[in-house]
Amino acid sequence: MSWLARGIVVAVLGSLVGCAPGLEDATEEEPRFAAWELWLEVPERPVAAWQVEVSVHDATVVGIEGGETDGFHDPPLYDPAALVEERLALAAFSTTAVLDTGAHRIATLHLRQTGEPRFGLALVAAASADGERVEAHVHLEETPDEP
Amino acid sequence: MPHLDPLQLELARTGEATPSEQAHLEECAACQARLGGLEALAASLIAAPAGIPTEVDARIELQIHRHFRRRRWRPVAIPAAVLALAAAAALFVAPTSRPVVEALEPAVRTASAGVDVHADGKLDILDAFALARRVEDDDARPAWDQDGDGAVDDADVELLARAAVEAWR
Repeated sequence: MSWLARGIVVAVLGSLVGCAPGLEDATEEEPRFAAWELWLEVPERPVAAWQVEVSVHDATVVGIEGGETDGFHDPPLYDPAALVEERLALAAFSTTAVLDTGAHRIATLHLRQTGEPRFGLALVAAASADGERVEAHVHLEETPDEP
Repeated sequence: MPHLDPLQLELARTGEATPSEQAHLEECAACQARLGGLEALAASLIAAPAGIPTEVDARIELQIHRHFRRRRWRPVAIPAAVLALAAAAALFVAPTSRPVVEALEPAVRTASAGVDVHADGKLDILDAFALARRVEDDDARPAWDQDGDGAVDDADVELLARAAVEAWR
């Protein structure tokens, strides 16, 4: 069989799967639940207090989990009324523990989404144990599905 | 007693309301209506289906089975099946490394003198954090008494922290 014929067969088989009836409906309309991890990168001075603002589009926040670091395991502070709005402020502090230099998962957002959500993200404040504002950076990652 | 706030309503929904909150809820039609809305929202979320539909699973399995049964196509069957699986997987597996995240301009909340414990003109979690440290050091000012009970304590820290994350209404 020529390479051209093989190529045509491969392309047809691939498109058959992609165009199977009901498949598009399943991917575009079926909601799914996903967890998105909020990470704080602390480059220099350890952080004892942080506040982040998140906007979520094309998804609904249905739950919020705390962080992975001692002293920050409780869910962050937030206004439950903001869960039904697009903009959500999250914050936490500890007078007995700090987030050392490095990356920390500080919260996990559980979303109900029907497609790919879009986010807005801003670090409102981060402070060291003595209350001084310090540098830090935030980012979001989707929690990988378990095998 | 004032109307229950959203957190108290959520605790009531999950059966964790205090006796006084429960008593208020039994008498207040407005709070009952808000609780009803919350219960409806929770029910709709719990009822939502998730995961890959079984019919889609079966369709993919059937497609693979058909590929491998055609012996005369064996030279291309394996790469075709791999490509087909990859195409199907791409439809179901969300990207995990590059979410669409845009920089957000944070909402700045101006702090009045009674809450600006961090003394920077803004109301955020640093005010609650500063007040917590002052309370621990027994060095809090009377002006920071958020609930007006004559003492500056953990309850005032909590009120200030809630104010810092309160949704715009």
